Amino acid sequence: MKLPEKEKNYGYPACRLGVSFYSGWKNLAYILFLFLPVPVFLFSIFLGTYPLSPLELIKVLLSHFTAYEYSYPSVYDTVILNIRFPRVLLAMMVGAALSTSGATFQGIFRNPLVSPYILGLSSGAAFGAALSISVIPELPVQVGAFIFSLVALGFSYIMARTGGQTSTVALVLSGVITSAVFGALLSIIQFTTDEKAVQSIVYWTLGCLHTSHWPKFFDSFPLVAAGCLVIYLLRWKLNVLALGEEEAKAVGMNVELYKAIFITAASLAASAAVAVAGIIGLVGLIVPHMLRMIFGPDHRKLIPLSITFGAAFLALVDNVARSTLGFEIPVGIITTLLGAPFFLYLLRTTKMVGWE
Amino acid sequence: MNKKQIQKNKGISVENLTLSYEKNLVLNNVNFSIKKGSVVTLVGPNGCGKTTLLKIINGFLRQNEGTVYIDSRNIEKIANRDLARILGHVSQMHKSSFPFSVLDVVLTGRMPYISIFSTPGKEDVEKAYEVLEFMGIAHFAQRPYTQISGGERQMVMIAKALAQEPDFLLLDEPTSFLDLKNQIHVLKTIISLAKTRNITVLMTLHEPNHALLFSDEIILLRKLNGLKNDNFSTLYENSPEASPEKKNLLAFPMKNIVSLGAPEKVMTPEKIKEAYGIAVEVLEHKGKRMIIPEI
Repeated sequence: MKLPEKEKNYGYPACRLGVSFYSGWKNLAYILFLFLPVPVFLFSIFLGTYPLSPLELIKVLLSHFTAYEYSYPSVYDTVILNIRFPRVLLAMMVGAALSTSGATFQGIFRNPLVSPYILGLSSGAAFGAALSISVIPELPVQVGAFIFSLVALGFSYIMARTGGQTSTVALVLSGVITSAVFGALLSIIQFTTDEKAVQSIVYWTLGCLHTSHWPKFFDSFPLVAAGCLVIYLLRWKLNVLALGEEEAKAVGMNVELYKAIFITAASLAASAAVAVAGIIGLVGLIVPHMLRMIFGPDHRKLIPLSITFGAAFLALVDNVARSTLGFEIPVGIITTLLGAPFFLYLLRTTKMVGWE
Repeated sequence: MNKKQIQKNKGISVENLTLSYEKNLVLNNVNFSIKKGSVVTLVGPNGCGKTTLLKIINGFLRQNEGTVYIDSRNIEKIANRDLARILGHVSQMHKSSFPFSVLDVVLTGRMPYISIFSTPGKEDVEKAYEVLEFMGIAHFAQRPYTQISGGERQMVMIAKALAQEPDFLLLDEPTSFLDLKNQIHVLKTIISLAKTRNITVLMTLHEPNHALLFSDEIILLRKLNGLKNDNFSTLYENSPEASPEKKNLLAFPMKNIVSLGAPEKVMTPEKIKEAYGIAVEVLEHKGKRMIIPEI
């Protein structure tokens, strides 16, 4: 085909130049966002209810990690190493897991309203937690929540699967049904159990990080890391899937296989996070959204950014939850109250593209 | 086997293809073959099985009976990934919910060449730019796919299929939803693909005049349901040996293909009447033919 001369000169090299100029600050922002968890971590460990001055904290850390010598009460070690460190790291891990899982589910479902909880994960987890709190005390809460979140997910997936195919609409609908069923089961427990147990169940479902300790972090870390790693390695395939299943098949993708892999990886990461932190809402929905507004929908960037920015985001929100008022506020409440207006602000100020 | 024989087997060949959706027979014993490098158009009324036929050839649907050969290979024996390297498919008007850049959309066409844990490399990006330039749309490589016009989007989808470096291209209604200028632009592009890149094109078109203008060969199809008025169905209902397979044989002895071959031989008033059930006139002007329906 012969091109008109004008169009020929307007080919990609000139265009590429324009793009690189325009995307210069974006590349810088990309790198900054990737390393964001480091300053956020350093900042977060200075915060807490225990009165410990920043200078003292720096001295304690220096004496630990360098040759610097400083004598201090042993309670400082407990506060820093066994309370603040695991708390901040757990918040980061949960934030990364929920954001990555949210970005993945949104990509597979090609829908902006999807969160990691779309397939009934949260209701299953809440039921599992309630079961262990009031019916089977021998079952640790995290284990109960983890097992039943996966039961709920599996239930949704199997219900939606007909003749070797899992249609997106069927998945969403079966997720709604699963959520309703586990919601009803949770109500039975809440209805029949004593007041104190109901209180702990409600507290758990609000999403809270104040009981963080190292075992929680180490129990859930391998699952979250494995899920996020699989999604990270396959991130470009999400671009192919996000354009539509028929388009993906046309370029030779085994759509059902990849969907199953992505759903499994995203569910494992999110379930492990919910099991230790309770149901923290909106993170999996708004973090990927915010990143898409700034960096575009390409999952090659979106997935690593979801991991790092999701981690930084929840650590910062948890800082608010634990140190603004004199008492602990469940972080799930803050993510919703803080997230919503910020999201609205972005929605109004940036030009919203896509989501037709 | 001599060289001529091998040459003859190049291309797409469809043998005894039969498919029914629920109880409706859509394709009944369809046979045709397409020579390498030619542009062939499937024409026929709504529901005649054009799209179904394309979907069987690219492996989206499985036929009940019959075989599809591509370059003498049975497509059922070709892995998805390998098939995607020789066969591109452009579906009817595609929409994306994500504002992917045009380049990112075209890059997904490199999928059959990218291993499981990899992302597109420099070479893939260069291939994508090469097809974008060939299509004359490299200047909007970075534009969001959701913000370009329908005609441009169709060009992007063709570019995506070309990034697969296929020998065959299937297009389902490539001109639907486009204005006249874009229709002609897309069709001219498709023809130039066949000529310059030796790509065999099989497409469906609604407008018979476009089929006449742009095809080397036309396959005219009819809808099998149109034959329901025959008393074959009642014959089947009353038959003591009734079975779904027999029903097809009894009720629909007709085949889908009304006629196939050179456009001027296929698109005659008699055959069009047979396929669409309407009366038309065929005019000739400066060596080109045109179909005008009687109103």
